[in-house]
Amino acid sequence: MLKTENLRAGYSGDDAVRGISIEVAEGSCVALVGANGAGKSTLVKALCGLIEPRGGKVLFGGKNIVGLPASEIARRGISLCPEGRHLFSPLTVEENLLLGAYPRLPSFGPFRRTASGDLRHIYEMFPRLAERRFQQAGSLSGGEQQMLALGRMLMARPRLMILDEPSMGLAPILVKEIFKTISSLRATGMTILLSEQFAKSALLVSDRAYIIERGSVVLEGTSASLAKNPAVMEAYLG
Amino acid sequence: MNLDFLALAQMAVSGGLMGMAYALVAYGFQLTHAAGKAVNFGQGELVMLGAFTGLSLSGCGLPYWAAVTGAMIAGALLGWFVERTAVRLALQQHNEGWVLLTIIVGLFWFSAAENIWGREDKPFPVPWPESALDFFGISVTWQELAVAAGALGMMTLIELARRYTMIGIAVQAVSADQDAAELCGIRSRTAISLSWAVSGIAAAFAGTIIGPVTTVGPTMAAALTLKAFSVAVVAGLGSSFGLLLVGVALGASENISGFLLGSGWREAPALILLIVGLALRPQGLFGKKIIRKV
Amino acid sequence: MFAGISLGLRENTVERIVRTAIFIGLAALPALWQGQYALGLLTLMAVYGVLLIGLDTTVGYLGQINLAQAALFALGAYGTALAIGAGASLPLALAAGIAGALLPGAALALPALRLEGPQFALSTLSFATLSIIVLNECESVTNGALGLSISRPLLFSLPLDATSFYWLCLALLFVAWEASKTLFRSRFGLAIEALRDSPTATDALGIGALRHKVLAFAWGSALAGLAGGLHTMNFGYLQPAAFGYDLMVMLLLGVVFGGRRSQWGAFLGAAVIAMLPNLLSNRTLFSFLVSFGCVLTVVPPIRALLSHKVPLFRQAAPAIAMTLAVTLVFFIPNVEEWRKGIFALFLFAVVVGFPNGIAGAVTATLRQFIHFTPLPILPATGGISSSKKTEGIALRLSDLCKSFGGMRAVDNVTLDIGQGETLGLIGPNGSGKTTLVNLISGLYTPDSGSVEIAGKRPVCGSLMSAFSAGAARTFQNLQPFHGLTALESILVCQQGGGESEAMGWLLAVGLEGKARIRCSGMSYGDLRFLEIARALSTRPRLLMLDEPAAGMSKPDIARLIELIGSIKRAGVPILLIEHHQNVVAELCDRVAVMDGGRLIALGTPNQIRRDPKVIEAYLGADDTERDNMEARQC
Repeated sequence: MLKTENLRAGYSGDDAVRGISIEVAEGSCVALVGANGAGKSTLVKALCGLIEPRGGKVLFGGKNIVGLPASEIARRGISLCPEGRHLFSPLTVEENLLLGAYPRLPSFGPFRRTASGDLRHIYEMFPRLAERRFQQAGSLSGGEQQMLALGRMLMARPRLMILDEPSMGLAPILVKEIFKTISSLRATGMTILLSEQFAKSALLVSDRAYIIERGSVVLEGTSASLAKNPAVMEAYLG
Repeated sequence: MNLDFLALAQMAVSGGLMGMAYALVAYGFQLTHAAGKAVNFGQGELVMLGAFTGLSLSGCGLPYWAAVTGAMIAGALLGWFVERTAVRLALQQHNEGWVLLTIIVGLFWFSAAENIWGREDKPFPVPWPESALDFFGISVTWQELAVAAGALGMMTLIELARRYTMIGIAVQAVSADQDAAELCGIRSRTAISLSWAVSGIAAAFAGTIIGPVTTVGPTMAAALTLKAFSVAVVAGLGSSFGLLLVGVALGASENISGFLLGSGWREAPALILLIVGLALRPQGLFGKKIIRKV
Repeated sequence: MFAGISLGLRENTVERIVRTAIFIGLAALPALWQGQYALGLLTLMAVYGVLLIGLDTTVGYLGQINLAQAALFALGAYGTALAIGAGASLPLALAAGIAGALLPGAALALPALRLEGPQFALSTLSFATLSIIVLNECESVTNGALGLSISRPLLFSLPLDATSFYWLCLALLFVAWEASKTLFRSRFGLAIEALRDSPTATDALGIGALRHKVLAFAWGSALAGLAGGLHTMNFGYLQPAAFGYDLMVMLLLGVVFGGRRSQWGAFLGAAVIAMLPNLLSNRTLFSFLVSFGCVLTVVPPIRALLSHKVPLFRQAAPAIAMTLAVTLVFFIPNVEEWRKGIFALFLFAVVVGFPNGIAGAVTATLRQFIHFTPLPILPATGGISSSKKTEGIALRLSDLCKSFGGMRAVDNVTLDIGQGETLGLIGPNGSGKTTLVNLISGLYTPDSGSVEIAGKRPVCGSLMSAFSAGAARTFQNLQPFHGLTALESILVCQQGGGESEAMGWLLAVGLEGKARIRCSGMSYGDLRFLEIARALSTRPRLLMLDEPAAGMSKPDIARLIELIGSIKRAGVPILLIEHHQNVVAELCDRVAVMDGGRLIALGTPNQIRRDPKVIEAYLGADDTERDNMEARQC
């Protein structure tokens, strides 16, 4: 479904992503694992069009999407839950969720009614959000913010979900909850690309994984085989 | 004593009503600042062009309401044009060049207006009577009421659209976090252009309601820009209610200081207020403090 | 592409020769181009030159839009006029003009320069309007809107005729030019350059943003006052209305047109504004100039078309503006009336097409064709030396808390670092490590709790205060001074000491070969080392390194470990945030682990490595997995 060929990207100066080729098959969950600064976030941003790749291709459903603006890529069905969540903090929880479905909703018409089915679905999944639907997103706690970010992404009914560091800044107990949610999403047949610093958990929920170090893929394979690979663990605890 | 008090109150009321129009122009700054972190230093010129367009249209025999609508359409186009030609270019180059470019585009408008409509101030005919109403000894003209009602109505209308339509919420989302908005499929450039167009509408509309009071001429731009800036900065770019409050206060203070110190000093208190206000509270009275990130 | 000509001279020398030649030519001009009118124009150009060099200090060097220069010019003019009225001699009258602009300018600068961008522009705009109101209304002193008439005073009891007054103006322009140039080449100038790139870094490194900005603005105001004084003596008649919005816009645009951050640019801008009314009246010349400009702006879009690309709007916009200007010039009968409009189009084309102005564009072209001799590099001295270890603690944090919205970023952190100790701070992304450093270095104000650095308690939330207590830091997201070279980046940070010593710091981090390279052209890894050198050159009593190895290559990391090791041996206490476990294990005496804003573990690297809480925080392993993990660790 998604395939990158020799993708290069970066901010000013050197490339942070130095020729990465990955593949995500329909219905699978693929993990990108690597330490902070390895280039995972840059890769993910390049996939979504937030930064323009300096070279290589990104094929989504067989079409090259390099150079399209992020909004266009989002409309084609790739949804990113960005690192650090990036909620619309002055807006309410419900408005955040509605914005997730923005391309489907009427600009001036009764948008709440159009989206009511999806909203109900999200509130069933995350009852905490239903309780706080009229609160400002910025006033939520860290765990609730992450749920909202996930919910906003699901509202888009994406074909491919990309999760960038969903565990970032959360207490361990909440991290477990987030991973449980990811597992259940995967069980519904959703295609997921997960970028994660927690190697163990990421390998547990995914089918395949790429180990990324300094902008390149150093190892790839099924998650089960990587989890047994001592080299992977070494990269983390030295 | 009693008479003096009454005179002061009269000054304050008519100034305050006029101040609502300043708040409306300032509201235009708030719209564009929220969307793309830039404001139009030539906003006064848009007000002036709006007034001239309205004037010309009613000169063609169109009724007042049609002329105002025409001016608003022109304002939308002009606002969009400024964003497209000046602001977006400068922000692409990542510098403060947009301040210069909006000044430059304003200068061009000024020169164009001078040559198209002439340098003289012209009266703006209106359909309402010249008479005044009396509230407990304070007289309020229909004209002043129209300014206040128009400004208030326009701001309410835009604010309602921002809060209760999906496209309005999307524009707010772009101001909160442009990248995240893009990820939701919102075309942030379009949203920013839209904000500038609406800001242009507000400015042109302000021109058609201020015009009848002050008369219309190329020089009305500079003073208005400054006043609207004062309102926007003292209130802080973030609270429309704050804008109204400060706008009314500025209008009233202008009239009172003009009355007490002489007409040349009209604008002085507002300017001092602006400098002191900025120094003490850069984010504005009603603004939120910005956290620096590293 | 081009071999280029080598002159065997330094750029600075060439510039000075050309400038001196031009000044001599200008001084000789009245002999060739006679007439009272021509002389008046040349004098005006010199006066505007001084004024624009002053304006360039804020608009160019500080990078802030200053709309007060016309008003300061007016205040200087009135200061001089009043002094002459009181019978002052010429030097005294000029001094009065300078004071007349400098004092209000400084009074404006103190509050206004805390602001940035549009807010600063606004406060200067209000100041300008206010000044004109005061000049108009204080009729007893300024004679209000009617204006003041004065006659030129004697210079040391000698009367000055128009030509000698022109020479005086020219001489003063030369002095102002040279002084400005020297000023902005000094450490002061480097600091100004640095703070435009990163005010956060300049504050954190003790350079101090506000102080420099206020001084620069004061210098600009003083030049405005001087120009005002000369203007008074040139015209002999003053009226507040002449110094209004129009002049302000012209001045601003003159600087931009000529080229910011360059005295040449200011001079060119001054020449254009002074001559503009005349250019417009000479229609043939003007048509020629506009057409020439149009041809210049058409080049980039045509070049894009030739390489079969659709030209970007940014490339095409100047050409569109200039075409419009040409149309106006050739088809409108009353060109004079459209003066401002055409000027606006011109400026639009320059600001978009040549962001560095005419001077910037010319300099860039010259540098392509001519090779100048580079500056010599001095031998290095100094470097990392042992500091005297004082007793006590280097850093003490007690119950430090900070929340953002509903997020507790730092939650009750209590921590000590001893003298000479290296403490590693690790934790997953977003666990609050950088926020903690931001609290210590004074970028953020803690909600509660206290910070003590080397026995001193800095003012909470003040970078400068934390710096004076002895803290120096690097930044996770680099804060380089893009416009400075590596050597200049150190020079601006170190407290005293010359170029040799700065070279010593570069040598210590292995950048001695890149001393004259600008930061904007350096690689990521080099910039990380440069940030460490910057922090070291302040001789800190506490060094905080925020993820120095992030994004570095393997050999760079090895170099980094060696470097931090040598800093450690010199006895500098270090707080090291790091993700790379081998860096932490090799260097740190103790390691603190954060998770979710809390300190969850503290101990030697070995203890930490075995701590199950840490393993869970790091790998997110669930309970059954943890046993396997520990088994593997042992």
